[in-house]
Amino acid sequence: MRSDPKSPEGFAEFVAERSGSLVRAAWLLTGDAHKAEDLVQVALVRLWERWSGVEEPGAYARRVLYTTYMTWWRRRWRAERPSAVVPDAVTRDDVEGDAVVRLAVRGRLARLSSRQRAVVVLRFFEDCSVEDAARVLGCSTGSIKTHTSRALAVLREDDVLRTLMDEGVVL
Amino acid sequence: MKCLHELLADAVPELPEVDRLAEVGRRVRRRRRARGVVASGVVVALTAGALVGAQWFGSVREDPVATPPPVVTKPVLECPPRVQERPFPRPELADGPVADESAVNALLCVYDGMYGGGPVTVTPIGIEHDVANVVRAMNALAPMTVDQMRNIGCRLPATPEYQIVLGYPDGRQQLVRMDPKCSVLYHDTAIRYGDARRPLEEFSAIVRADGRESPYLSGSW
Repeated sequence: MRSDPKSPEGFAEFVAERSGSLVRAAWLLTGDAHKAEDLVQVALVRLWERWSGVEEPGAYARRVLYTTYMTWWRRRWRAERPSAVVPDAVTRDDVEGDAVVRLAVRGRLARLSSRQRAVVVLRFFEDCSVEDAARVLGCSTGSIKTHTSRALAVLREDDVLRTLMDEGVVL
Repeated sequence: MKCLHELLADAVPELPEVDRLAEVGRRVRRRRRARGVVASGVVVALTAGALVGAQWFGSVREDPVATPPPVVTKPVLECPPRVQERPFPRPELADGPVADESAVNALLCVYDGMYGGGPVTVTPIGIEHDVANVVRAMNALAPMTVDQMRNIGCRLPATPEYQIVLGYPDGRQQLVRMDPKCSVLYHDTAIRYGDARRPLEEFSAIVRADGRESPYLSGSW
């Protein structure tokens, strides 16, 4: 039996059900497990403080997560942008290797600006519409479309991802 | 064929399992403490003579934010097949509470037929709220001296025996034997003297409040 959604038990259920996907999105934003946990914790603490009054806890937690990420990146992480090592020559066998693709995706994400990265994660990992992404990030839909286009262009610059795209992956 | 969603999902490594609810609790408590320190500093500054602006500073106070509930797990309790033996009298058994009041569930085990030579039947009944009332009734019984422990007198042997199993959120369990006919209550590291029916009556009151019948009836000892 589910608890009253506004009760403390409802919060516990929300954390149990949703924190896993939040932390995965946070990892894609930060590229670091500790920072991802930290980000999710900030979102959950804020959510708890307003728990009884929040209508859509999932949307609220997501908004806090992304806005906190943008704020932190401006303040603390500017000098900490990771860069991945991508193989120089890409062969077909390499492309089929999941590890290489994973590294390529991580490497390309690291090259995106914080806002482009947030847009990519929102649109393509969380499957948000342009309108929803604009609402979460507090910007216009035009801005989301621009960032999406530029981010996808950066992803396509990668040999591995371009090869996948030639094989039909939608980028 | 993979889409970008899958590529992104695959890019996320295995992340460690974290008790996020407990961590939220820790952070909320830390924030409250930090706010408390700020508020205390402001009060000191005010009492130092800063009357001007006192109203403004006076509005700084701790948010009435509760700590999120810990995830309460209730252990599965079972009645032991036999009753616990009374511990050997030792002075240290007189001190300290019988059990901790943080128990989250409890099981009353009633043992019938122990003295008839036939099969013993064990009747269990559980409660999952107000367990602290039962524990408080246990702890309220008086400590015994070693001499008292050695000279415990018992009456009416052919009656049921009672034990209560207490469950704690961390999975711990504590078995407490109630022996009203000997006016004692004990487990392996505690023994108390007095009306050992009191915890049984508290337990039964909770069972009856739930609309169930208690296997312990007042005076059935």
